[in-house]
This record gives sequence, C-alpha cells and structure tokens, in this order.
Amino acid sequence: MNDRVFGVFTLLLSIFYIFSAYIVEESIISDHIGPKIYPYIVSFFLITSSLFLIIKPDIKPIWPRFGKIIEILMTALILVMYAVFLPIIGFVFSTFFASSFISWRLGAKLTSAFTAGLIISVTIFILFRKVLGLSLATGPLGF
Amino acid sequence: METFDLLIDGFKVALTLENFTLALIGCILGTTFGALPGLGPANGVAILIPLSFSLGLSAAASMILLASVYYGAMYGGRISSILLNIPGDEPAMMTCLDGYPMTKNGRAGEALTLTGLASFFGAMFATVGLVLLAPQLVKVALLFGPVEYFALFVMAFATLGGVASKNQSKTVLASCLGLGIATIGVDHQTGVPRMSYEIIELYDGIDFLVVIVGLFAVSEVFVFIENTNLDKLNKEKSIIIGNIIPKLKTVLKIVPSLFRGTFLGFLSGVLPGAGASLGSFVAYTFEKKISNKDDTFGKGDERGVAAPEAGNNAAAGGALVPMLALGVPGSGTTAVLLAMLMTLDVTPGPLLFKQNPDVVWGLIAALFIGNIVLLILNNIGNLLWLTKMPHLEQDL
Repeated sequence: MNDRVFGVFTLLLSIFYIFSAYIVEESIISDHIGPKIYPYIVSFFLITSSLFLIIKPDIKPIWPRFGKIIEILMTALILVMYAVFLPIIGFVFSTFFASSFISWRLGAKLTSAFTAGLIISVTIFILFRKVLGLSLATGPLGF
Repeated sequence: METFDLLIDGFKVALTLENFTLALIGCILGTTFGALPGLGPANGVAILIPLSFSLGLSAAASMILLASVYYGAMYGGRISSILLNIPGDEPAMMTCLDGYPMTKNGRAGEALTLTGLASFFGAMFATVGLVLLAPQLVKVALLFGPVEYFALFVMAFATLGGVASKNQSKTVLASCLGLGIATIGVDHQTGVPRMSYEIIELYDGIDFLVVIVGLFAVSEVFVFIENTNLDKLNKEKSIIIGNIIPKLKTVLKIVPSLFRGTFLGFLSGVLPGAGASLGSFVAYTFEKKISNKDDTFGKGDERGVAAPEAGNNAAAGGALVPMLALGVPGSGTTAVLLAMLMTLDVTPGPLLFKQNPDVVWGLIAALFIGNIVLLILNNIGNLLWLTKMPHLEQDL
C-alpha cells in the first residue's frame, strides 16, 4: 500500500512535470528533440515506473514508531527553517539553533547539545569568515 | 611503459609538501569520519568541499584531499562496526556480522588488525587496477561520439536498475527524478528557460553539488535519527580487546578471502551506481557461500570480516575508474567528487587524462601514498590507542 501511495504521488508529479514542459516556449531554431521533447521522454519513463509501482508494490516496509516520524519531520522542518532564516538572522544564530536542535535529537543531553551548537556556529564563522575569508550570511548584528 | 612514466610524474605532484600534507590530513579526517556513525564518506567529502574552496586549492590538490578522505572513511567504518556493532558508514554494515561476534569472543584487537590489513590489500589492488584499467578505457572512450555516449549512459542506467534495488521500477523512478531535476533552468543548447516559472533563482538550474549533498547528507541524518534507540539496545558494557597481533596461521587463513573479496569488490565498484556498499555485500555473501563449511560465519569468523573489508575498499578504488575515465560516477561519494571537479571547471571524462594529467596521476599517486599512511595509521595506531581503550568503556 505504501508503495502504491508513493506511485500515485509520483504519477501526479509527472503530470505536473509534463505540464511544465508543455508551457516551455521553444525558440525557432530548435532541433527535433529540443528543450520540450526531452522532458516528455523523461516523463514517459517516470509514468511507466510509477504505474509499475502501483501495480506491483513491494511488501510493506517497517515504519518507525510514530514518535520517530514526528522527530524526523521536526528535523526536516528545522532544516527548511534554517535555509529560510539564514539570510535574515545571520549565520551564527541560525546555525546555533539548527545544530543544537539536531545534536539534541541525535542523542546528546540538552546542555551539551547547546554547547555543541555554540562551538559549531562560532568556530565555523570565525574560521570561514575571518580566517579563510569566505562569505557567510550576516544578520542585522553583523554575524 | 607510458603509464609508468605518467605515474612517476604523478608521484612528483603528490609528493610536494602541500599535497602530501593534504593527503595526510585527508586520511586522518577520513578515518574519523568513517568511524563516527552517521558521518559517511559522502558527507565527509561534502563537509570539506567549502574548505578546499576557501583555501584556494588547485584541482589536483583538492582532489587529493577529498579522495584521501574517501579512502580513509573506508578504513574507518570498520572500527565502530567491530567494537560497537554500529556500522560507521553504510559499506561497513557487513563487517558487523562477524566483527561484533569476534569482539564478543574477546578478539576485537585481532579483528581490527585483520580488517586493517584487508582494507589495505583491497585498496592497494584496486588502485593498481585503476592504473591499468583507466588509461585503456580512456583510449576507447576517446573514439566516442554522441551516439556512443548515449549508449554508454543508457548502459549506466540499465546496470543501475540491476544492482541498486530489488524493485527495478524504483530505480528507474529515482533516475527519472534526477533527470527531471537536471532539466530545471535555462537549457544549455538553446537558451530556453525550462520549469523555472519566472523565478530568477531557478534560471541557473539546481546545482548538482547541492542536490547530491542535500540528498545524501540529509537522508543519512534521518536514518540515524530513526535508528538511535536501537543502537542503545545493542551496546554492551565491557569490550575485551584481546590480542592485537593475530597469529600467522590466522593471517594465512584469510589470504584467499582477501583475493576473492578484492576481485568482487573491484568489479562492483567499476559498475555505475553500485559503489562500496554493494562491494562489501557481494564479497561477504560469496565468501559465506564457499567458506562456511562448519557454520562459523556470523559467530566471529575471521574470513567474514576480511572479505567485506577488502571488498568495500576495492570497490572504492574501482568506483574511481568510470568517474575519471568516462565521467560516470560509480557511487554516491564519487558523484560528490565528480560534482567537485565540475565546479572547479575540470571536465571529467576521457579528455581529463589529456588536458589535466597532473590531476589524474597526482590523484592516483596520492592514493598509493594515502594507502600506506592509512595502513600505518590503522595498524600501528591500533597498538597505541587500543591499549588505552578499557578506560573509555563508560563513554562508549
């Protein structure tokens, strides 16, 4: 059943993909197999494999406990938020929150997780920004 | 003999102070990355990419650093497999099966030494294989036109379907998703924007490096979170290291396993998409099939740790063959290395051997040197730190 749901999802995705390819405006000088046809070819295989998955799914996989699923979703959310907040609040703060949270979830105690977050964010910032001169996102406070 | 001359030139590149230091650092970091559960070779390489950019390393130097990490991680993965029954990275999974029982039997020291030797054997032979095979492959590949390249990639995708999963439709699906992601952005041939929905950021496409690092690193974190509690159950308090230097008889016993493991590992490494995990898997299952006469496998058989370790290290070297010669990555980590080369404006593939011989042969020579460093690090290192191990028990 899990595979079937996934198959339906990828089927919908490939329909969206075909639509996206359909609205591509080709230039006049295109070959026969131009920027529009290639996505069509890819989506043909995408649709075929999705259908295969719906018709012949694997046996049911072992799902992690509900708590674990929530944890994984939370981690994914933290990573997305990290990407969103990085340019706004700067590298040090966002890295501190993200890495503290992830080290906590990977099994560290709360205090050591925060310490790890602090060390990771500050050291990387100093090392990359000040020593190696790489550009990292800065927030309103300049770090 | 042309190959030999080129290899000598490679050693000249690899033995400059800068490159040798980088190889040394790479080996040490790689072993550490490999030994830490949740940090595999792909992540280890990915973590160091920004560093090699900011240090302004040349293509040859950064490849030496990153490939040393790759080789080092293959050595390091076995340590936590044997001592804690937690694979340090995915290819070391099979080493748990006989490695941890050996620890339980009080033979952890022997297991570590034997796998260290097996890793060296596998990696060394694979690097020799790389020297012999890659230039020949290049000669053929130089004759390739668009038609042959198309056929080659069709073959790469087909072998991917054969080895990557039990359910081929999932492999096809994953490949198509990848091809789909690659079509985002302005088409190189015609300059037509595709799938970008007028979003300026998408015109550039989605960088290969970003996709590959994101998919590998993030999924490894998720897998680790999923398994953290299981690992706690597996922990046992006391680890008896036992003898560190194995008896000569034991070493001789594993020699045939080393050859078998290395050969199978190298072959599966050369195949696109399979990589080191398949190498150790094939080596272990084959070894079990022919050597398990008195049902000792899974209970701490030396051959059961030697074969998969030789296999995964040989596969790591094998995976570099198609990556360097054809520009087709043989595994996840080589895909990251490939992305790195492309970001450095070096095009992998047959022309690489002509245009950047310093990169190719410097890299290969560095792998030889790295292997010897890793052997010393992992075996003589064993003697030094293992004697101190009992004090660390509580922390483990």
